[in-house]
Amino acid sequence: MNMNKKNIIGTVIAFLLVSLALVPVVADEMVDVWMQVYQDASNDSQRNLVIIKIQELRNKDFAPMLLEALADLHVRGLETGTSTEQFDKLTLAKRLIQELGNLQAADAGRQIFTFYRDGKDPDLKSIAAIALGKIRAMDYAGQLARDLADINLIPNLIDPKPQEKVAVGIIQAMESMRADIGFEPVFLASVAWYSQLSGIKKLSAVAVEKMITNYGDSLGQIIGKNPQISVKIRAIEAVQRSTLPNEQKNSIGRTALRVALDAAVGRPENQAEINRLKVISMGLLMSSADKNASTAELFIELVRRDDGSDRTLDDTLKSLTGLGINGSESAVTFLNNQLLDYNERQKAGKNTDRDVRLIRELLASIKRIKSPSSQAVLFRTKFVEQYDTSVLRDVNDALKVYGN
Amino acid sequence: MRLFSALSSTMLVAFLLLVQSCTTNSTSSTNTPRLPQSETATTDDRTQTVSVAVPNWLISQSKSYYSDGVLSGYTSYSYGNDGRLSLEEQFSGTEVLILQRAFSWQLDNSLKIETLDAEKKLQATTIQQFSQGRLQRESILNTLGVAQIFSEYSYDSAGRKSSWVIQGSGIRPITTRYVFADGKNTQVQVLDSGQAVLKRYEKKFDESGSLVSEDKFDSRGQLLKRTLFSYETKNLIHEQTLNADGKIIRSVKYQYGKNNEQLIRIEEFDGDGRLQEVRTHTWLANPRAAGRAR
Repeated sequence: MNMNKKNIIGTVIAFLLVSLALVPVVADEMVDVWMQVYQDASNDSQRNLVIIKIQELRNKDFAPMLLEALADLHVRGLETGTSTEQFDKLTLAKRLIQELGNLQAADAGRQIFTFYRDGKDPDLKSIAAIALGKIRAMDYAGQLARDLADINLIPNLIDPKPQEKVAVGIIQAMESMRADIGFEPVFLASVAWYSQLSGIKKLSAVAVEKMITNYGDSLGQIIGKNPQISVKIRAIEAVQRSTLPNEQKNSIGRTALRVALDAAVGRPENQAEINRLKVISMGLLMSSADKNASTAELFIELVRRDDGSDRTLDDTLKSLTGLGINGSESAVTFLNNQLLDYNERQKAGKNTDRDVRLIRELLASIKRIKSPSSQAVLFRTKFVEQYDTSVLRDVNDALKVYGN
Repeated sequence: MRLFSALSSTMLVAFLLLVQSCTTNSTSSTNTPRLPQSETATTDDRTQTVSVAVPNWLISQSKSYYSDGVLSGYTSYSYGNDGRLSLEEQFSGTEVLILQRAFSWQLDNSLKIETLDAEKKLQATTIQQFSQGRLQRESILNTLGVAQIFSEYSYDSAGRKSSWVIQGSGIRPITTRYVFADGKNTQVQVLDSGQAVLKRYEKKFDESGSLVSEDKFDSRGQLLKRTLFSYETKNLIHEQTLNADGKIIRSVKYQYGKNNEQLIRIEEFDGDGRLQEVRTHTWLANPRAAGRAR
C-alpha cells in the first residue's frame, strides 16, 4: 500500500476513533455465536478454548449456558475416559466454575458445591470454593467454614499441599462472603500449621480484618470461647494491632484478663502461655488508659493473689500501676486501704523490702490519681515514722499535688 | 451489560470490527451508542498497521464491587513504552491473581494474545491477522500450538464489516451477517451452517444517528428481548433491557468524569431496581497523546 492510501485509511480510522469513541463492543451476537460454538464443539479440548474466549467476553448472558455445560460435565463424570480426556474434563470443570464465579451467577451455587464436595482434585475444590464465595452462596458458608476448621487442625504429614490448596480457596470464599461463621476458622488459619510458602497465614490475617464489621466482637468471642490459650493470645494480639476503638479494645482486654485469671487457678501446665495472655491483656488495658471500674476489680484481684513470692511480684507491681492509670472509685478506695494496711504493718515492723517496693508503687499510683479522698491517708502516712526516707519522700511528693 | 466487557481484550478485536464496519461512511460514526474516546484506549493497539489517532487516556484499572461495596475483583492493564497494551491481569476481590493475557505484536503485524493461568502456564493463544488495518482472521490455538477455532471476517465495498464466519475442526460454520440501511447497521443475523437464522437483531436509531433500541429475535422470529438506550450530550447514560413481555429485566447506568471524557462508573441493577454490581474505571494520561490529555 502506498503511503498516500495508507494515510487516507489512517485518517478515516483516526476520525472514527475520535468521533465514534467507545461503542458497546461485546455485541449480543457475539454471545450467541460463542454459545453456539460451544454447543457444536466436538471435544472438551475445543470446549476449553471456547471457555477461554467466553472468559474474555465477561458477559453475564453466558451464565445459563455455562451452568448447563457444568451440569452436563457432572453427568459425564470427571473420572471417565482416557487420561487426556479426564485432564480436559477437569480443566473444563475448573474454567466453567471459575467463570460462573466471575459472573456472580447466583443460580450456580448448588452445582458448584457439588463439584466442591465431590471433587478429588484439590485445585478444583479450591476453585469451586472461591466461586462459591464470589457468588456469595451463603447456604454453603457453614460447610466451608467447618471444612477449613478441620483442615486447620492437623496437616497430612505425607503431603499437606492439597490441604493448603483447599484452605486457600476457602479463605478467599469466606472473605468474599463476609460470613460471620467463617471468621473463627479464617482467624485460626492465620495461626495454624500452614507453611510460609503457602501464603495462607498472610492471606487469612488480611482476610479476618476485612471480612466482618464486628471484628472486635468476633475476636472477643474467640478469646472467650476458644479452648486454646495460644489462640486466645493470637486474638488479643490482633486486638492490640487493630484500629478498634479503645472502648472495645478495653472490653476485650478485660475478657482476656478474666480468662487468664481463671485459667491460672492451680498450677496448670500451660502457665507460661497463661502468663503471656495476662501480660498482654494488662498491657492493653493500661496502654489505652481504661477507666472502667470492672478493670480495677481485675487488677485488685491480681493484687490480692499476691503470695509474697517473686513469682507474683511483677503481677502485683503492674496491677498497682494499672490501678493508678485506671483511677476509678474502686481503685482509689483499694489503694487507700492498702496504704493504711501497710502503715499498720510498718508500725508493727512487718513490712519487708519487697513490701517497700509495692508501697512505693502504690504511692505513685495515688499521686497519679490525685483523688481528694487520698489526701488524708497520705497525711496519716507522713507521720508513720517507721518508714524509711525514700518512702516518706514519696509521700511528700504525693502530697504536693494537693498543694501541701 | 454490554459495556461490562468493553475493557476486556476482546474489545480490541470487536472495536476494530465496528470501526471497519463503519469505515468510509461519515454518518456511520453515530450509529451506535457513543461513549468517551478514552474508553477506546486499548484499541490503539489494533490500529498500528495504519497511522491512527492516539487516545488521550488509557485504562489502568477496572474494579468490580458487590452492591454492599465489597470489592469482588479487578483488572489491571499495563502498557509498553510505545503505549500499546502489553498485559492484562485479572485479580479476585481478595487480590489473588486469576489469569493474565499477554499481548505482543509480531513482525508480520499480527497480534499474538497468550492467555496464562495464575501460575503463568499457557492456556491458549489467539492470533489475529490484519490487512489494511482490518481484522481478517482470528485463530485460537491450544497449548500444543494447534489451531482449533477460526474466525474469518469480510468487508463490503464501503469497507464495513459485512460478515463473520467462525468454524473449527468438527465445528460447523456459523455466520454472522451485518446488514446496512441508510449507512447504519440496522440488522444482524446469526446463521447456522445451512444459512438458517438462529438469532436476529433489529436496531433503530434516532435522528442524530444514535442507537436507541435493539430487538433480539429467535429463529422463529419471536421477540426475545429489547434493549433501550438513552443519552445525554451524546454519552450513553442509561441502558434498559426488557423481556418479551415488556418487563424490565436489567438496567445499567453510566457515569462520566471530567469533561465527559472518561467513563468512570457503571451501576447495574436487576429487574426490580436493586443494585447488583458497581464497576469503576481509573485512567492514566496517554504519554503519546502529550498536550492533548488533560
